[in-house]
Amino acid sequence: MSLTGELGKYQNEVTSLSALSLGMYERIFKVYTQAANDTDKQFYFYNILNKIQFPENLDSNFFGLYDVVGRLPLTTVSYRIYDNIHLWWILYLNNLEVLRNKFYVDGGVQLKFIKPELLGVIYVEMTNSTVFGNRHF
Amino acid sequence: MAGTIKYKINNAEYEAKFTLSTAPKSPDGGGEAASPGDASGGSQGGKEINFSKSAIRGMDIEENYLEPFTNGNIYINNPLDFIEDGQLIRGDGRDKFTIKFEAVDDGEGMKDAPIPLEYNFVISSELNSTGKTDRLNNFKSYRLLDRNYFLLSEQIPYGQRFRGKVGCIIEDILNQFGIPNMFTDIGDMKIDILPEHVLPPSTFRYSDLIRYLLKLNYKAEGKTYVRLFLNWCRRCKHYKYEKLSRPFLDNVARTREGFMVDDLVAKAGVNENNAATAPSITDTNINIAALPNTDFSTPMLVYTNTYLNNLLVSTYDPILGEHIMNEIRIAKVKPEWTKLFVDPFPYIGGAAQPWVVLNGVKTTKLFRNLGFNFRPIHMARLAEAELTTNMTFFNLQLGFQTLGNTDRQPGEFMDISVARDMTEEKGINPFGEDEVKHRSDAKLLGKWFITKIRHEFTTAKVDNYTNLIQCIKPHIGPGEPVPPDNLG
Repeated sequence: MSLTGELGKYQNEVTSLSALSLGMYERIFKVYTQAANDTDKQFYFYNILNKIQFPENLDSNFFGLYDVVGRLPLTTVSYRIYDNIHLWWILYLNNLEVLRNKFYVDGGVQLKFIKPELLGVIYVEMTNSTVFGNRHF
Repeated sequence: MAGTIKYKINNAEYEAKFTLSTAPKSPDGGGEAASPGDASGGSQGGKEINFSKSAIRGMDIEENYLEPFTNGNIYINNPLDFIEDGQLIRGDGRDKFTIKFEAVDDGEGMKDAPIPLEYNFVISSELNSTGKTDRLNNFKSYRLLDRNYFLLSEQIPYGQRFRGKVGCIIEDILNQFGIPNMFTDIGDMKIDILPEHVLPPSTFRYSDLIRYLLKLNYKAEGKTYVRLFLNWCRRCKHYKYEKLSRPFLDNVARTREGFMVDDLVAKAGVNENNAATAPSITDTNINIAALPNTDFSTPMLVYTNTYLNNLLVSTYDPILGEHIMNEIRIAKVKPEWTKLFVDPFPYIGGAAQPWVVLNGVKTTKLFRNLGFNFRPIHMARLAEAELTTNMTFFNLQLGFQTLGNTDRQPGEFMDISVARDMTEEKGINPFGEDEVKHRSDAKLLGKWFITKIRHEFTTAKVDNYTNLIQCIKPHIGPGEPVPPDNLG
């Protein structure tokens, strides 16, 4: 028997797993279970067929600019901007042209970031698509 | 506008007009405007006193979602008994006191004109405070009664009976007295089968009858029943009669403003217990729109045992000659109530959770008896409507005092939010290892339904206008799980 059912569940709906905080990218993935060979044990895995894409024409008032000093991983930059290492993906997705497929940012690069007070708008969209199934309130 | 007074309060400019007039005609209509919002009505041919700025010492007006008729007090300087030098007060309800108070400039020009605080009152009583040394220091305070209430205080003709849908009866009475109204919902309670009718006692006035009928109505909504409420809407200038679930289902559109509960914030965070409309959609400044105080409470044992329990509705069927007992279980009603009063509220972190904590005793042993004299089917539904109303209003409560704004009125929502995370990695001590989880955020933050607003205006030392606001919220945010219902 699957622990999360055929359609899967979001991690915050599975009480036996720890809750994900608001800004974690994993919130958009459904969790499924798979039994390992020759055992009854079930293991959780994410279905990663879901992604977030920011519109290219976002209002410039949404953004601030940050000059990276020294070669740093995105998690560290995220911590310096947001006090939170989990928001690295927001920096990555908004600076795709500069970062391409790099996780480390070279010194002297200027990154644009969504202002901390406006992060709620992103979280609301994530919640709306996962918890509320894009219901219109 | 003749007789208009200007005040500067908290850097905003207000205009006010306080007028005492004597109606030339009787209060039972007589072609006179009955609208509390119509400040000009009723003075044709009568005398009028416009009070000056120095005359007004203060006023307070109380608007209540659970009470259709507004009342207030006004405090006036009365040196040498000047008030009645202008005009003798009749004292029979024909003296009308009109109040109009509105913000005309908030310091940056008004973008959206807020609704004025505008009412027509009848003076119901007066109190005098006399100076100890001379007659120059006399004050007078008038107790003000909603003029609509006074219009409805006419006696009901002897023997008049009322049948039909309760909502229609109320609507007809308001129309009879020319009181503007908009009945979005009528309700399902119908008084139509003999010997069912409402025969008011001879002491009843129309206002008493309306109060009685308001208690009787219900409306089917989903798989449960809700009560209906009558309210004066200053925004649309008429009485609104609608089912209680309507504003809750429409909560996003009816959210007017937001407040932050934290003090000055250095770095903004996002709390999962903030409503999805806060603080970015609702007009809020996260740095200065702070609440100075919050009188926040949870319903405790006395309340929950009295109002949140199972119901036994005993009625009598006169045709079959049966005594009937209907049992309404709160545990069965709760999921249906949740769909109407909790599920429509989106939060940043997820779905709202109902705050009606049950246990084994409440679900199996605790009953409240209700008995009515109408048809059993109506009475069971009415009792269930009473229960859903209790679950909504006898719930989390918030009271606070803040700078005045005439644009607020009961029946609308406000967001209370905070610009920090619910879980902070470090607490007050920046060198500490332990994270701090603000569990109270789940209860305190969110979208609150305004039930009562007291507009307090004083000019005693400085011109000052504040609002005392009371709200309810029947749910908590998604940040913390609700306690389980399966305790013994």
